[in-house]
Amino acid sequence: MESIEILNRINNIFALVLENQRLTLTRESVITNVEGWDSFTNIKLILTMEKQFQMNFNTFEIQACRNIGDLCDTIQRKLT
Amino acid sequence: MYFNTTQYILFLPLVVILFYLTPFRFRWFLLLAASYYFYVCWRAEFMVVIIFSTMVNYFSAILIARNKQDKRKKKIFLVIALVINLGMLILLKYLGFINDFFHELFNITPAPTSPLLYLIAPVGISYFTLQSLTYVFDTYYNLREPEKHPGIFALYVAFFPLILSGPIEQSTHLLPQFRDRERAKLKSSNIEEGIKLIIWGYFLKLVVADRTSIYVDSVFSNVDRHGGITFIAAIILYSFQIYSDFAGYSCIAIGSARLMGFDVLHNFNRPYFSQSIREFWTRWHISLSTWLRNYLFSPLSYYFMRKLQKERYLKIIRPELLTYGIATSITFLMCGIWHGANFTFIIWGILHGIYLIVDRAINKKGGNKVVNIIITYILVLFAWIFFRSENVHQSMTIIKAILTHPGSLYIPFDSDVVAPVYAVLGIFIMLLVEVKREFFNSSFSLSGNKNEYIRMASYGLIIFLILYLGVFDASQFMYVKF
Repeated sequence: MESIEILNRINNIFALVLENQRLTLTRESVITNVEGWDSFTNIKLILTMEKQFQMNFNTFEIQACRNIGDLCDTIQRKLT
Repeated sequence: MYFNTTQYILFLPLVVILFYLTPFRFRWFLLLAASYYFYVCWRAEFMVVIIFSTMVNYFSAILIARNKQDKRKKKIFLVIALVINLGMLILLKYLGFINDFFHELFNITPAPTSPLLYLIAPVGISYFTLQSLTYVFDTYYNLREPEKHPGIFALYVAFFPLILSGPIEQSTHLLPQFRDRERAKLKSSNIEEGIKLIIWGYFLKLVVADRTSIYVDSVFSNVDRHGGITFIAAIILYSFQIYSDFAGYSCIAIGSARLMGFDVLHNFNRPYFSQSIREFWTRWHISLSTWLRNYLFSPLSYYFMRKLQKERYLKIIRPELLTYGIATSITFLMCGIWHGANFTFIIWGILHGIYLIVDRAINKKGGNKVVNIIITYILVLFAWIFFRSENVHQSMTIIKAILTHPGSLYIPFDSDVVAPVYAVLGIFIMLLVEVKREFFNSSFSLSGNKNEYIRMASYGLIIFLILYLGVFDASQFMYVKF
């Protein structure tokens, strides 16, 4: 799966969980500059992404992701 | 050596001058020597602890990185590092408290008078322990390679602007700066920004915090004599005292580092303008809340998230809310304990945990901004009652008085009658600046003006206010004791 497609799917997940259909994520998006994304909603986001991409993230992978770009790369790596 | 002493005011410029005169490759040595000297000024024997901590974490990270492919060994070295770091912290800071607790509960430990149980905790241990652990965790999570240079790592642990009370810096942010030649060049912007931060820090500490403390201390030292109205006034003043004291310290720390070109993350972002407790913890003691989120809350929530697989618990609680509740409770219990060996801190931490869980469960959005700010401030004030009190009994006495016995406002008419007036004036000036920065940041600025004469005049004005209104008794910064 291409990185841009992964980003689009993550964007859709975020829009659904954060209840914000106008949300537009970039690779540089971080928890502090996305409205509604905080330590609580992060739990729901991780769970939803695991179901959607049919994978489990381990603690290393979650802790290592500092922005959406890192998350896209991690998902792409796990899919290949 | 406190920041608000003549000693530091002489020490800092000397170190900065020597820093820029020293060739880049030797600067780490100069800063390390200065940092160790700064620390030794407290108690020379504390050096044993900081050097031991440095060695443990330096070698732990190297062993963790060497065993990257072997998850089991990697975890073992992490656990060893955690046990030693936290064991040292518990031994030196909490052993007496634990002994008292079990003695009262079960009467099975040695009598609480044994001096071995009441060791003096080395100053800054709560901070450099957490800072060292960020380095170990970051290495464990493959966020960075271990620092091979022992001197630079020792500097990361003991860096004098941060050693006493933080901010607790991420290793991925601070460590690379010690090797950054470009950053180390002398720039007038760094000097000016550093001085500006230091001056503002001294204003917050010497004018607002220390003036306010005179009234607060006199009320809290005689709780049986005062009524509810006095306690409300005292706790409001205390909220400004603790903020100004700690934010003032942080400004001086960040400014001191900035003089040498180092960028240290800000620790406060006008927390009393928060519209929720959730927001409060993104604005108060930011370095600690970030540490707790990254290294305690997040791992706990991921762990419980995996375990709680049912659709609903007790028929109504969603698993993510239960996960959040458990992780938040543990995190803020630890937060309370970190602040000190007293049940008042634990209750303070638990209260904030409860606030966050209820806030999340209700999940109310919007509302009037001013009302939200006031409600949040009142919740924070209530928790500060416990934080400031010497013990739980004193907290309860104060709360009871607030609810049942208003009394009349205590106004000191002794020798230091000007202290409350100067305190209120200091708070007013601070609030003026904070309101301007929060709500009118793009409008005209004195200290941020393009015209350097206006900027210099504003710095001069603050210095004048410090000299005229400030308290110069070299009182301790409050957060040094945590």
